[in-house]
Amino acid sequence: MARSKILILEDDKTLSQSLAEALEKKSFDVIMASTADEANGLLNEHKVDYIFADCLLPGMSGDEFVIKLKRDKPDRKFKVILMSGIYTDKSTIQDLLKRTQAFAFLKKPFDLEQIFNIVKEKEEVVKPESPRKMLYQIFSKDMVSTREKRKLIESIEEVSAYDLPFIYSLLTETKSSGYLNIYFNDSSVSGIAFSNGSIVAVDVEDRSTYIGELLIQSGYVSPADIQKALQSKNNQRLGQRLISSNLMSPHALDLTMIEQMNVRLSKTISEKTVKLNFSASEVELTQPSIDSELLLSYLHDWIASKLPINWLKNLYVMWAGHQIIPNAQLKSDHPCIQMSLVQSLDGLYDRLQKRTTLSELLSVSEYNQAALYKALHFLVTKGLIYFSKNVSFDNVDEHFDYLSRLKNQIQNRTDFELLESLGLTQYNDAESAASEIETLLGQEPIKKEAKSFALWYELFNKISTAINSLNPEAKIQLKKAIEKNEAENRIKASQLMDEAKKELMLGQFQSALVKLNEAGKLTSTLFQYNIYIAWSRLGMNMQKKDKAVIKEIEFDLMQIPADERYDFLYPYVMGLYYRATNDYLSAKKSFDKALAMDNTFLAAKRELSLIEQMIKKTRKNDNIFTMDLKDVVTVLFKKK
Amino acid sequence: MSKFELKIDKNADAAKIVIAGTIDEDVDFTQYSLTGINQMEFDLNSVKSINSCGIREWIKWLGTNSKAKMTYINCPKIIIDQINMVDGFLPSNGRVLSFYVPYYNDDSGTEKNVLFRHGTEFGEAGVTPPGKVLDDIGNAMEMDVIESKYFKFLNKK
Repeated sequence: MARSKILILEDDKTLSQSLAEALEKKSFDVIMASTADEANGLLNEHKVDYIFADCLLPGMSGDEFVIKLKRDKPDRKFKVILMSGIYTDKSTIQDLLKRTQAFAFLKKPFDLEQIFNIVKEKEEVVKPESPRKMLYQIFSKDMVSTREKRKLIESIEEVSAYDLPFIYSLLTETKSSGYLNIYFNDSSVSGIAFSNGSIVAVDVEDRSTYIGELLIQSGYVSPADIQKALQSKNNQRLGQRLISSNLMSPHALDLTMIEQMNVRLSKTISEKTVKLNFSASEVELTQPSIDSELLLSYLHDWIASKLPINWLKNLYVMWAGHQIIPNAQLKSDHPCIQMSLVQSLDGLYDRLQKRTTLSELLSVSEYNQAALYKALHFLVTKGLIYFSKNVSFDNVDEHFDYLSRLKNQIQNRTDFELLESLGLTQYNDAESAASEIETLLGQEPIKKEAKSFALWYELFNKISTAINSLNPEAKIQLKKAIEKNEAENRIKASQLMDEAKKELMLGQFQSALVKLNEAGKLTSTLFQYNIYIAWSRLGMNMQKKDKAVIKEIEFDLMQIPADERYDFLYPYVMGLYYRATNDYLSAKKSFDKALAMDNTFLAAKRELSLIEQMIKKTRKNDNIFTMDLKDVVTVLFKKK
Repeated sequence: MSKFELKIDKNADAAKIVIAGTIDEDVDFTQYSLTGINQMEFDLNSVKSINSCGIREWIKWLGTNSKAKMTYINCPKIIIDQINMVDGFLPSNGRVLSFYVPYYNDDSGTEKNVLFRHGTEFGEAGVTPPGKVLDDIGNAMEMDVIESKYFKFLNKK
């Protein structure tokens, strides 16, 4: 274990020197400062575990220094021991302890044993944070060694497969080389090879290649080209055959293979729990590969499309009151800020620069909650923001609002659901979870008359009672019951989806939407759910073309994952979207693609003939005297 | 050294199999037949890494002669991780006779792998780590694994 580091802030050099010597003999690393400025300089270079501060110093006093330090560097975690030979009366000491949140106060002259007891006592109290929390805090460090990554990944017993985008990003951002093996509960293993931060291979047990569908949808080849290539008598893979037959360029194949990796990576992100193992190793950089830049858009896509809002809410409940700290790389022109999730939230970048909290952001009425959680998770995943280690509230009202929201979030939940939503199921007694609960609720209000006081205790007791009421055996039983319930809900939701699909085919959009919404409430893991939602909304909105509804539909479309896009349905719905936005040429292309994937799809045939008529009609209405020059040339050229 | 090497030293119905390098999708185990061997000792000392394809191929390969008695020796951490996490990576009739445990010194950042042998550092009664592990300049080193997780495979048998 690393040795604890102590800063002694004391202008009496003899005292500080003798204190330092005694502490060094006990294996502590000690640094010394005689003024607040000097201490600030040292703290810029050193991370300390304890600060021994003399209250009466020249210039800024020790207690003022501590208050300022805690305010300026809220993410720093250290314990303060105040010292004074002057302030010795009880009420002053109590006031100093309150204001500085110091752990102890030493009246000078003091006994060295007193010091050792304080440090020892505190060492024993320090509890490690949960590995998952540490994982999401990893970008708060400037440098992450391979060993640290490996240790952190190892320390997590099991992780949700929804955490995988973060792990992929971590390994990419930190330029890792090696193999990440992902073990599923059904004994299947998937693996991802990283070479200096680039993903060079993705291996999943489902070996569907999608290559044909991907090529057709990307517009590189037609179904006829694929048939032709398949007829050629050689043992090459489809892509190679298309290249050999001069039906496609090698570059198109590379791009499609990258998209194939994206689809496979997307498939690993699911509601399952997984175990992970990362073994650092030299891996050759082969092409095609997914580098950090490309991964950015995929991460955005996965977070927008694969992560359920409830999972994100549960993840971030532990940080709702923590300050969001922007990384130095987070600039307004950073590519992440330009991505649609972030762009959909006006002024988010500015708010982040002001070190806001999630709790504050949730109170911004114009923000779509799902988009907010997803945008923040995207930035956390890219290491552009992280949460301070301690909960911070500017004032009592803010703390009260945060606690009220938390209360709403956990009310009507059973004890087990409550603990699961707060990530506290691993605790078997409230005592051992006390520091974690305090981190969650924020600092215990000192004044009884503060309005947050009663609420804080109500929540503390509710959570503590929930922990104490459940023994490990009961938790296993409850988890099983929840899983059974979820499975039943999935079946009901699938039935509703099937009914909705039939209604969509018959053009009964409103009734289909009702059923889809019902299904969505039952489970968040329905295949192509958002495609059907978008279809029904587009169907209902095709005549009115309401802009606000179109914006909501755009968010539905953003939530369609890569692995759900490669059949006829996605291009069909995209065609409807383009039609609704009056982009008839794109609509035609999309319907063409849908029919290329399935030429028996009647709805697409119908839409295609409709859109062709619309295009003709638009062209008839073309007036060369009011057109752009480019369009004039096009019209004249076509007429000719 | 090439990416993967495998040597089989057969002696009557027993074989010593030495494997080195990376076990991945490029490894074709079908060329190394295990039929007719009743006792196999796998020396895995020089296995550098294994990916998910390699894990599947390994299990499939050992499955071609599931009745043979198998022992693994000099297992690096990467192999122990797979034994702990993947059912069948060490067949039910297989045993680990020796494996490496990583040690680390926080101050110097030195890493070292210490070989734990059956009957010396571990056995049926549990694990008895060496009293003191020192790095090259005499610093005391600590075990660099989560013991409850790393030694889990010893309880399986």
